[in-house]
Amino acid sequence: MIFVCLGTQIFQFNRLLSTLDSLIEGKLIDEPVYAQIGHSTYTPKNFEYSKFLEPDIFQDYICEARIVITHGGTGAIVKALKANKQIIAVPRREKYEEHSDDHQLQIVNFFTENGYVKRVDEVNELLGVIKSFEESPITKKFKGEGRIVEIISDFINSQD
Amino acid sequence: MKNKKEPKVLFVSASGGHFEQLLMLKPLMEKYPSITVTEKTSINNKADYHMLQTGHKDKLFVIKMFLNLIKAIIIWVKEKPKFVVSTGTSIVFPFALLAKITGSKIIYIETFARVNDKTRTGAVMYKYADLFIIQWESLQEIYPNAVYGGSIY
Repeated sequence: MIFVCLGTQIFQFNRLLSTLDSLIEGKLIDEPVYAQIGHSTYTPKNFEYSKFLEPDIFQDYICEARIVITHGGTGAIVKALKANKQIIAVPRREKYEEHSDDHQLQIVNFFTENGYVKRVDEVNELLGVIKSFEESPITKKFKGEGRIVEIISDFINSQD
Repeated sequence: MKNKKEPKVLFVSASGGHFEQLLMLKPLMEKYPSITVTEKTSINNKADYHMLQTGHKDKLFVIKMFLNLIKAIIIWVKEKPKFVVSTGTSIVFPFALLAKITGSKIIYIETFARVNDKTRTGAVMYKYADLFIIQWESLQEIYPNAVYGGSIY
């Protein structure tokens, strides 16, 4: 199963959905696809979708998926990484009116350069990258190593 | 030996990735008496209070911010938090203002989503936060007084 998650921002991400629709229609993708489309205005014809998913149902789809295709949002990418999924990240671009700026490029660059995800910029690359997991799957595991909880805790305790 | 009471902490963030990051602070939410605040969206984000969703491109930003300020005052009077912790974005402003007025401390964590540049909210909160945490070392140049904390995830 391919799970597509496009976040909750008030912007569409239609180009990804319409591309998936034509790939399924042309039988180039033959496994089930489910998409959480957020504020996209495109209506998928060949796969099931919902606008938003409750957090536990979202997590179920992540766990069930073979491949997670996500926009460049940190929440979705990190959830998929923690579940050790094959991940394709497609940054939302201002030029396609998918976000207010291009900041998703930064996070997608980081995860791509470190080998955690595969990146798609233009939708015509999508099929090739989906197919590429068969020969070169992602094997790198993500583990956070921050100490923000300790920093905040120390700060609060130091204020009395 | 003093038997001190743990201070109340208000955790606030926008929905989506910001709220995901806020939830990574669960160990703190369990350690201190905590209140969580987020935006009201069509997804049921589990929090104690929900504010109106807005952003800087929203035409009704000023009106919604004003309504959120009134809501924040009601929450503040009821809960009297000693600390405000936020992972962004502009939903934090009313609470930051109330913290400044009442002498509570503000802890702001710049989002994981920006590696190389400031967020609008981060740029403002850098001036007012008592503790400003960054998740990328690359941001230390533009936020010289920030504390680098590594990834929140």
